[in-house]
Amino acid sequence: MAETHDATTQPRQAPNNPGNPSDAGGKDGQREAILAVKDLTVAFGSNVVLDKLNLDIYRGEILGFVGASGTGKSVLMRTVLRLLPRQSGSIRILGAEYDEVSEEERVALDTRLGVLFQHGALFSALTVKENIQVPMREYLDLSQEMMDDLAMLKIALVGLKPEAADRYPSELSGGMIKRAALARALALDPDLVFLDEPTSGLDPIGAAEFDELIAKLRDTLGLTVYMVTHDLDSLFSVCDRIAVLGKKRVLVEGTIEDMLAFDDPWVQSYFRGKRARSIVRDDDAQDNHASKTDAPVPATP
Amino acid sequence: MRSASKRTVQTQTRSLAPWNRIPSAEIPNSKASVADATPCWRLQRWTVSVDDRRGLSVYECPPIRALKEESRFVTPQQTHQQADIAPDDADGVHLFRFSGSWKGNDIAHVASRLDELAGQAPDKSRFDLSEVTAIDTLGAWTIRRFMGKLGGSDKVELVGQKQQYIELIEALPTELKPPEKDKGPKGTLFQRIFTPVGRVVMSTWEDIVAVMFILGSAVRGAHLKVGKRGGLSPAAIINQIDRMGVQAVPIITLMSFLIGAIIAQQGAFQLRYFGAELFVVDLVGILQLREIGVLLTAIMIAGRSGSAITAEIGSMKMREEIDALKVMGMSPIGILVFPRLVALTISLPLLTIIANFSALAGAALVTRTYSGITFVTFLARLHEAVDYSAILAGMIKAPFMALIIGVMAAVEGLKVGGSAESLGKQVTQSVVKSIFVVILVDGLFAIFYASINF
Repeated sequence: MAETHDATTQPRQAPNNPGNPSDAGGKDGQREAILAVKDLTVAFGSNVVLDKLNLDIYRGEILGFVGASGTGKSVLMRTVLRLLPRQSGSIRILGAEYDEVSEEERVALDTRLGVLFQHGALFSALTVKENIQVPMREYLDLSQEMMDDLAMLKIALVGLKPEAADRYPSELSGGMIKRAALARALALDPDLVFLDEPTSGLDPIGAAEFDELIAKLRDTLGLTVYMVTHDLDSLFSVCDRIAVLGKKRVLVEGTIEDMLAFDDPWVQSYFRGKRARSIVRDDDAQDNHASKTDAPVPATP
Repeated sequence: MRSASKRTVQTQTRSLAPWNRIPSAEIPNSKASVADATPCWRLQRWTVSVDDRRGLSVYECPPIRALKEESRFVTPQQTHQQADIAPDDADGVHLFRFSGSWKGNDIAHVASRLDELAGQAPDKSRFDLSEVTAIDTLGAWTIRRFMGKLGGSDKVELVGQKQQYIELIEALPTELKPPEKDKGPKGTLFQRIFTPVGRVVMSTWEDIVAVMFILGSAVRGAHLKVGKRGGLSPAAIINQIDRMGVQAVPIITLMSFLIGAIIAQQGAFQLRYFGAELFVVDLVGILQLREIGVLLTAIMIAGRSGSAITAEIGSMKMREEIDALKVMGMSPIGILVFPRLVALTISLPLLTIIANFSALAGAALVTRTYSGITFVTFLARLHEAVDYSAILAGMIKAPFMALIIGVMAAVEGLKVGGSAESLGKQVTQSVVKSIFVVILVDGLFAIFYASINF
């Protein structure tokens, strides 16, 4: 609750010590659940989409979220973001139950979340720079000059060229839209970022760069990332943990090894399918080679 | 000199290049101009003779009629034969010989014949596909369905040289299931009659709740955020006033001028019978200021700006921009709807004033032309006929109309779903509903004014 209280008293500021490893938290087993979903039930009419779902995301990790189409990945994300109503269950974000906090606290909580929608959802009437400045204008008391600088910084951070700043979303390519949307999601240096299929529609090189970017941001800014993805490369390369949604709940969560060992036909065919096999093989080869020197801190199963 | 050795060759497919070199004078039998016979494959039908004396090739063209007859887009190699089937009894099994092209339109005529043949239902049959020249999925499916009618792959054997045809046919499903419709319980007659009524009532109720929600949110202010810079964002409001108000001035002026002129003309003609032509000024003045001015301006704005608001908000909804605002902790109503509502509420009364002046000007011009009432007389009569209450009675309504248009447009805009169709539907709904409610409210005001003698 201390976190929340802190957030209410002042608008969220950029972390002073972004690289601090203690920020990543939880190497000593006492991991802080930045998002805790308990017994979540979501239904539309008589159609139950999620049934008593439980999910924890810990500070400083990248959680990859997979599931067959139509199992409710987007519904879960949108419910967590309160864009959809839920029937029952609790969602604690940053230690606060969203429905119980006051309105000021709620706004403060919102500033600590960043969301990258699948199609970017950039405001089409605004340029990229203005898009990034929307949340800043709303929550930070900065001069226009400072905001310009900050926006350009974010643009550089996500690997966009400075020229992109004054373009409108309709003038951008798919990859640039995703990057611009990520820049907007990072505008207020949030603690938790939701990414909805960040690499879908990108070419493999662009997707790999995006993955690297997200891993880099996690390492430097201490971001926690909730990533809905179908990109096996992303799952294998940047995700610390993976959760599989199926049968209206989280079927299994854990590392890649857990996935490969899990006995479920869908999970097996997903992680051991034709497309996954080559990656697994590559990974094994690499692991033997580098003897697991700098693999991202995986959660102990 | 020898006579030109005439060597008639059936040429192979030639590129267009030599064709272009043919001097038109050297096409003796041709009735065709060069332009008529451009597609290069037609060259195949041309005969080439070599005139040694002049070192030229002579191309001879078949009559143009022959060319026209086969002017279908088929490659020349294809002997274009339509699909056909011939049953044949051989050593105890029914043999069906399939021949020709089993593609697209070539199949249409054979489909009914297949149904006939399927009626006989032989015990065991064999399909011979050796003479099939081409096949596509429609052809394969037709054959597959025929197979199914004859008892499926147990009873039918496919033969033919082209293995890929057989594979294609066998790869198709034996039957296509129609998509399942989830049929709820049908319900009694009573339920079936009143369900739509109930739906309408519920959706009307939801509309009312949504209108209240938007009004409430708008009153509450632009930003959810506490503290600094709450409330108005002047830049957005002024931008909207420019778009909804200033840019609407020309059309509103023109429309009102015409309306004023038309009412004056008709009024003058009718009142002439009573010798009360001067009273047309009373008619136009009171009608325009109390009713027509604000009503027509509101209808025009509903069509012009209401639709724009719905379309803007709706497309933002479709592109998840509204969700993006929400997750940033901003109220979409405050950010998007509030400035538009304020702008409309400021613009519509001002436009009404412009409309009134314009209509009176139109009326003055027409009465002068048709009835010879001078401008001075017009103004003097107007001064007597119209008092402040008439002006006020019209102007009071304007902000209400503005709110109705803005809120209706916002409600419909937020109802837009994911499809382009729903955007179009909600824009229509927005305009229709706001015009309807505007007229309804105008009527209520008229009743109210009458009962308080205003």
